[in-house]
Formats: sequence, structure tokens, C-alpha cells
Amino acid sequence: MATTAPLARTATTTHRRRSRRMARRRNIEGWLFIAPVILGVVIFQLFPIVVSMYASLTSWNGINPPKFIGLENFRTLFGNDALFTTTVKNTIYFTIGTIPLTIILAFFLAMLCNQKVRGIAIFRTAYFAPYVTNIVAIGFVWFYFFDPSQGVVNGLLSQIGVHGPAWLSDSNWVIPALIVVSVWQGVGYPMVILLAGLQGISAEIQEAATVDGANAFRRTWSIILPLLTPQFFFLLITQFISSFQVFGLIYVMTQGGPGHDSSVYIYYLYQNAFAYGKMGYASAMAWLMFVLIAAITFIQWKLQKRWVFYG
Amino acid sequence: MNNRGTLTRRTMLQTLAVAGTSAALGGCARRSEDKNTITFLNWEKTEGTPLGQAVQAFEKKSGKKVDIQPAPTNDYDTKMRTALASGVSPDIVRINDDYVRGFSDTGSLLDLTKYIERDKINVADYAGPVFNFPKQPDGKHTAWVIGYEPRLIYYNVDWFKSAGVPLPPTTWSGDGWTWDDFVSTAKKLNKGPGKWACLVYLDTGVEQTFSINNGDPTGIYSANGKKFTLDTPKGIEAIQWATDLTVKHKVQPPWSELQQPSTDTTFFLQQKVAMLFDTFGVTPYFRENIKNFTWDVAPPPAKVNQRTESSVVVFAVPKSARNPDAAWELLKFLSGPEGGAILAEGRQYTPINNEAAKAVKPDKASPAHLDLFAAAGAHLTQPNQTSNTLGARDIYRPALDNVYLGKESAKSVLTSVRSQVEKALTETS
Repeated sequence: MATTAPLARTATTTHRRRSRRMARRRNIEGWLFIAPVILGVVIFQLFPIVVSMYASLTSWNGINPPKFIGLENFRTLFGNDALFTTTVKNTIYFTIGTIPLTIILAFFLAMLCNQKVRGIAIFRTAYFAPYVTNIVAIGFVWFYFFDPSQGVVNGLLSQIGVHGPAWLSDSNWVIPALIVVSVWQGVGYPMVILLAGLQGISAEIQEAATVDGANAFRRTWSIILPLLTPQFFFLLITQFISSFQVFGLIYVMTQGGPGHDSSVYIYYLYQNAFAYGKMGYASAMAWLMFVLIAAITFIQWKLQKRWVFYG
Repeated sequence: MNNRGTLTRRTMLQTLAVAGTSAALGGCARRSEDKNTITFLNWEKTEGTPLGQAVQAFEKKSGKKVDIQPAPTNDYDTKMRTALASGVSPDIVRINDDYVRGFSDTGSLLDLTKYIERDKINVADYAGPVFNFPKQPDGKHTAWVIGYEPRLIYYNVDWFKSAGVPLPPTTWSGDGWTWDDFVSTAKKLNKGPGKWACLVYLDTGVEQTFSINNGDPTGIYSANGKKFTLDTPKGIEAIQWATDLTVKHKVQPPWSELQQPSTDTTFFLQQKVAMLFDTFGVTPYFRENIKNFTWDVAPPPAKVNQRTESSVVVFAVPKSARNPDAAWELLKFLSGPEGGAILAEGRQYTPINNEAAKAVKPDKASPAHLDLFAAAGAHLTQPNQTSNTLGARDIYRPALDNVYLGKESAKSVLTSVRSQVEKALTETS
């Protein structure tokens, strides 16, 4: 007995060491397996973020070494750049025009596509197709649609005696025209989200409401819309972010014109970075946009308690 | 214990070793191949073009390979800037003539003076005004011109004849071809909406050409590139004249109908405009595609002067180029008699080499007065170089939209943007 206890202790210690060695080895293997992803995140995401943060505090043309200038870029943005103000206004105009129209239209399309009729999948696909179509192709097609003399839009308007404007060259019409294209292109995605939400609403609740005498409008207003508020909330946030970052349509269709009437924030940021070689200034713009979007998203998040129903 | 399917340390090390060795060997092979290859960033494809043919002739003569990397025109400046910033730039880059000063200021372009001196390049062999175009205030020769594309008036001969209007002059002469004559001719040619007499105001070429021809000494910018001079009375009058062709005389397509790509060439091709102010560069396209009418070229109408802005076909060797010597050899070939002859044959540029430029002469196909492009060498003007032409242009050109759309006068717009443009000119793009 006297020798048994030390032997047992030795065996236990050896077992622990082996377990620790095995655990360490598994840890190493695990790290090695996820190393490509971690490296990718560090090199392609964290590093550019840090560089961009530093660049925002410098005067840098992207070719020569950056020169540290503190908050000068931000001071210029707020105090000495009229075009910055113009592009912010245009972006807000575009966003305010796009989001409600997209979500309302998406809701109606989702309601239509929720019907159990033959061939409904074709309609769902048709509405979703623009969303997965290349924005350059869409831009070019609509560019020709909006041609003032030979475009389809003015051609149709002339059939009813209306002389259409030069949509993309008219200060008053250029952003509404872009909103139309953006809504047409982007409505498919929110429609699918809302359709999924609609299909998650219990048929029993609606039947009960019908039995209680609720008509279609009442059922929509009091049952369907409240139960879809989580989807609306999600769409509000994602649509806000994507509308605020609109670039492709502007780049392809108007290049910010006429004048600067359709120049939006990201397009101006792009011009500063890659056309004027003001990488530092563009980085400051990017960080400002990040803060703005984060702040508005935070406010939306806080306000959701008042209107989003997770029942 | 079954180890199949698990990754051992040895296996991983072996794999990494094999991958590393392969990468190293691949790198060696690449370096060996690079010595004989000239990389060339261009904003268009060159297959079948005069430039492509000249490059092929160089490859055949030198035994070197030229790897042309075309980038879409819209994104070209972005790609070039990125390439220069990366430190691993192509050996040759095509560069917009407006941006030579700006890129030179960044110090990213190689000074070619040592090659010019070493090879005893004789300036007298080249078109003087454009040869010295890339020479910077500090004396550095930071880019290289191989040819130039003067702007002339392309016109539809059949349209003139059917309207009974005398044809424009066939030499660089202002006799019967002043601004007033031009308007008068346009009014006779005009057939109403969709069949306009002329298309003049499309790019910055009109701003420079017509302000200079109106008597402004420097055109868009001052000689030192620090001042915006398009807002002088002469400049304003020139812009208003070009605008009035639309808003007052109704002989030019509305600005709103000119926003699609290549509208200028399409309108001329489709006989929607009778006269078009455009560069030599569109000539090969017209020669290939216009089959149903006769066309020709004439000088721009004269006023105080009769000159024309010429786009310059210019290339640069970045400082970080791996094969600068080979790059110089190619540039020298393209601007020499052999390369120049090929470019002249293609009738897209007037070669900078005087001997080669002689080949720019009429043949059986239109235009009958092709030699006006070669003669334009004596009537050239170019916008003065600035450190930030793009930044300045992106301020005053969008503002001009309102002038061209007939909403504001040239005077109110150009004077209102002056301070912003001059602020941009103080910056380096």
C-alpha cells in the first residue's frame, strides 16, 4: 500500500501532461486551420481600416508619403467645401425618396406574390431579377430609356400628350429619375424578406380575425403589418445603409451631373480619392460617413422599442 | 489509433516547404521573362489599331515582347494612379495630356532628359510645339509625345451640296470662314430638330480653341497654370457664342441630347449633324463606317486667330518601371520615322516626327483634304499645363452645364466659379 499512492500519483500526472499536450496540439491545429481567415481579416480588413483612420489625418495623394495634418481634413469638410454640403443634401434627398418607395412597393409585391395561384414563382423571379442584375447594365438600359428625344419614357409620355423632360440633364428631374431606377432595381430583395415574413404569419390568426368580422384592410392594418415590423425594421436599416452609399447608378448614368445636381456623397468621395488624388481627404469623408451611419443606425435601434413587435 | 485524415505537423511543414519552393521558382521564372518584356498600360485596346501595328513592328525589330494592358477609359486614371502608388508600375503608361504636370509634380515620372541627350535626339526632326509639351518648369522631360490629334470641322459634303451652300475652305484660311460665316452657313444647312447644322460644344477643345481664336492670349488657364482665364471677356464671349448656336440660333443639338457616350460620332454618322468639331482620332472610325455620303474636313472658323486645340498622344515612363531602358527604346521607335510612318498610315494621329507626318495625305477615300491635319501643326494651341487640371475642370465644367442648357449666361457662371477653380489650381492632383 505504501508504494501504491506515489505510483497512482505518477500515473495521474503523466495522464494530465499527455492531455495538456494533446489539447495544446489541437489548439495549434485549430489555429492553423483558421489562420487563413484570420490573416485575411487582418490584412484585408483591419489593416486598411487602421490605414484609412491614419490617412484621414494626413494630406496624402496616394503616391508620395502622407503628411500628418491633424484634423485639417475634417475642418475643411465642415467649413470650406461647398460641394460636400451639396453631396450630403443630394444623398439625403435620394435616400428619403428611395427607402419609403422601395419598402412600400416591396410590401405590395410581397402581398401579391403571397397568393396561391399557378405560375406565381415566375412573378417572384421577375421581381427579384433586377436585384441580381449588374448595375452597369441596368444603368445603361435606363440611360437609353430616359433619352429625351428617343427614349421609351418620353415616347410613352408623348402618347398621352405629355412632353417629357430631359430626365438626366434636368436639375429638377435627375434625382427623381435615379430614384425610379433604384427602386426598380432594389425592390426584389425587400420583397423576398417581406414575403418570408408573410409566410410566417399564422393563417389561424387571420381566419380568427375574419370570423370576428375583420375585412381585408383591417386584417392587413391590425395583424399583418404589426407582425411584419421586425422585417420592416431590418429593411429600414439595410436600405438606409445601401441608399446612403449609392454609387454605381450615379457613376454610370449621370457622373454627378447636370452640374453637381446628382453628385452624391460616395461619388464625391470616389472623385476625391481616385480622380483628384486626395486620399487623406477621402478617408476623412469615409470615416465621417461611418460615424453618421452608425449614429443613425443606433437611433433606429433605440427607437425600435416603440414600434417593432416581436410577438 | 487511426491517424488517417488528421493533419500532422510533418505533413503541414512538408506542404508549406513545397509551396514555398514553387513560389520561389515561379518568381525566378517571372523575373527572367520580365527582362524581355515591356509592360504597357493603355486606355484602349490596340489590336488592329495603328498604335498596335507600330508596337508589333517594334517587337519584330527588337525581339522584345510588349505586354499591353488595356484599362477602360473611364477608370483609366484610377488604374494609373493605383499602379504608380503600388511601386510596381508598368514600364510605360499612357497619360492624359492634361495631367502631365500634376503627375510630374508628384515625382512619379522618370525624367527622360538623360535618354534624349544620350541618343542625341534632334528637336528639329519633330513638331516643335508638341515636342516640348512634356517639358516641366524645372527642365525635366517627364513624358514623351508620339503624335497629336488636331481638331477640325468634319462636314457632310452631300448635305452642303443639297442645300446649295458653298463648301468651307480647303486650306487654313479665314476667307469666307469667320465665326459669322459659320453661323450663316449653319442656318442655311439646318433642317430643324433631329437634323442640326452643327455640333461644336462637346469637350474642353471648344473652350480652348474658340477662346484663343477670339483673341484671348492663353485660353482656359494662364501661362503658368495658376490662374483661370476662361472668364475673361474674350473667353466668356467664345463660350456664349458656342452656346448661342443652340439656344439662340437653334442650329445645334440641345446639350441634354448629348450626354450619351459617342454622341458626336454617332450623330455625324447618322447624318443628324452636318458639321462636327472633333479630333483627328475619329477619322479611322469615319473612314470605316461612313459608306453613304461624302465627307471632308475644314479648319475651324477664324476670328482674331485661326488655331485649333490638339490633343497630344503622350506616354510616360514611371520612376518605378522595371525596364526603363527598353521602355525608352519603344517610345523612341514610336516617335521615329518607322513607327511614325505606321501611325500616319493609320490616319489616327499626326506623328510628331516631321518626316513621318508627310505621309498624312489624302488618298482615294474621304476626307479629300486630310492634309489639313498635317498642316494643323502650324496652327496649334494647347491648354496650359496646371498641377490640378482635373480638379479645376471638375469645378468649371459641371457649372458650364447650366450655360449649355441655356439656364444661365456664360458670364455669370464663369465669373462665379473663378475663385474655386483657382483654389483647385493651387493644389496638386
